[in-house]
Amino acid sequence: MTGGTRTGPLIAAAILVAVAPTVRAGGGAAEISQDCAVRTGCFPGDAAGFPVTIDGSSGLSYRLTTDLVLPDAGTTAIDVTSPDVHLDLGGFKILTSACLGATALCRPSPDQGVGVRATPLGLHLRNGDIVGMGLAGVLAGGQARLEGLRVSQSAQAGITLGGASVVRNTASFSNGGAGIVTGSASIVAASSIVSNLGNGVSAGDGSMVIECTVRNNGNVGLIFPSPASGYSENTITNNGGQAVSGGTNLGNNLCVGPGVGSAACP
Amino acid sequence: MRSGKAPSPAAARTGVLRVSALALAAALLVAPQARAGDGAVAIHHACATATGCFAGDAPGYPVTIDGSAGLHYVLTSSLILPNPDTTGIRVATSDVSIDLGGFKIIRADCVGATTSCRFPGTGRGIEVASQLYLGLRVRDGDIVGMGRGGIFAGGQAKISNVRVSQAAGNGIQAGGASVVTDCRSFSNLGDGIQVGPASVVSGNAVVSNGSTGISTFNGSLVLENLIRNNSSGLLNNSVGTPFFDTGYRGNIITNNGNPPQVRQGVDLGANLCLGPGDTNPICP
Repeated sequence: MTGGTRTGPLIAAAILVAVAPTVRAGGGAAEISQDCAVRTGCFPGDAAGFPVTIDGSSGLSYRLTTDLVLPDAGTTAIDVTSPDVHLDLGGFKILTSACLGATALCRPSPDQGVGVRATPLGLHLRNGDIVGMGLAGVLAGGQARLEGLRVSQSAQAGITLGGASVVRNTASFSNGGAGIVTGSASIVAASSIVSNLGNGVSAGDGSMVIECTVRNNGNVGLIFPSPASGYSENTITNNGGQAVSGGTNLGNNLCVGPGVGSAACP
Repeated sequence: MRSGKAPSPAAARTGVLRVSALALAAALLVAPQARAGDGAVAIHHACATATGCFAGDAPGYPVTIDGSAGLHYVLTSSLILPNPDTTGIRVATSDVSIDLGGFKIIRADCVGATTSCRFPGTGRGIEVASQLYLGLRVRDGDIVGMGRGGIFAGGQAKISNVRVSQAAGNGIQAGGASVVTDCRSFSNLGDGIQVGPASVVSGNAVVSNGSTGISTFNGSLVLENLIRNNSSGLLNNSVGTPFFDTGYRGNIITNNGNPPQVRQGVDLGANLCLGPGDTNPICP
């Protein structure tokens, strides 16, 4: 029948559109873009619309190929439900539309949106910016590794991670809560934590904070629950509360600020 | 004696087809060698299991690097090993560089696992066929759930930015004069990191391993590591006397099971040692 012949290609096309295609970057990572995020879903397991859901069925390596622009502070950009996912932001941004091109503060009122949320263990996130989230820039479970990120203007904490995590070469600034919060046995290294409204870095027992700049945060610069954490080679200046609370000074730290009479850290 | 008569067009076509089929078969028999953008030779699960990834590598695990395809390799997908007795990559020459490219070498049972998937066997993630093969470099990826050990390297190795977990042996083991930096080794049954003499171990997180967190031999430097919740903390195994020829500085060594937190070696300062029952955070 002629009608059947005509509709066949349309049905085939409809099937192709309905099944989210998995596009892979040169390195074999599955690609995430604004277009696939809002229109088709980016790969099997991800429905159209935010958040992009990574359940591991398309592999464990993913890469942004465009910025992700969220409509509001209640929207989460990427929700990781599988352990051990590696996500390269590729130098791109995850940001709310209100922060697009903003030259002044665009921090929203508290809401539910997260840049990258990963409850399971072992998220590896790197190389990009997360700006203006309603809840947090990054909210991840333990054994996470973050590097080369710039997280700013979240309504609450910039980065919150579970235990045995590593944050390196990252900037967390102008967030409405703490700059970086980690569980026990974590490393925060070579990072800049500036102008957050809460504490600068809050790290669990057995953690290490090394070679960081912690400045202009609204509350305590570094805060630890006990002496079983250490800090060395940090510059901790001009924070609203104590420079350091808890932990063990392992040397070569500079503590200066309101109420801190000398450059000696506790 | 062959006739000088030219073949008919049909026979010529048949001959061309036969030649083409032979060429195709030959092409299929020779392992293809794909090169990544930076010139490194690509390794991925499909070539590892189906064709071999390059000259010198037969189909099936382990991927064998004998140097005939070059010295630089990069993973372009995760390698999923079928069981704990399978090794992912075996290196049979010196000075090989393997970039894991952010991918994993992982045992199938560990894919998506949210609880411990450790299981003993004979397989490793990456191993040298002989410790006489020096200078292995491994970087940027994960190795999960190996039956024997995560990485087994000879001397003069450099291991960087690798996460090794759930191995039923040592997480990372390297011979003398090696550098292990910016790695994470946790939940392995053996040592988290074990290196031979004159090595540098720096910037690593070594957590919840079943034996020693970091184990070294004579003349090594252990710098700015986090060592926590292992059966024991930092051990210098130096042989002969004095025992005090390994130094450690800037480490956080806490809550490891068997006191003291550090056995042997010289405290070069800025270390924190605090274990169960300790009240004074001073290293020996």
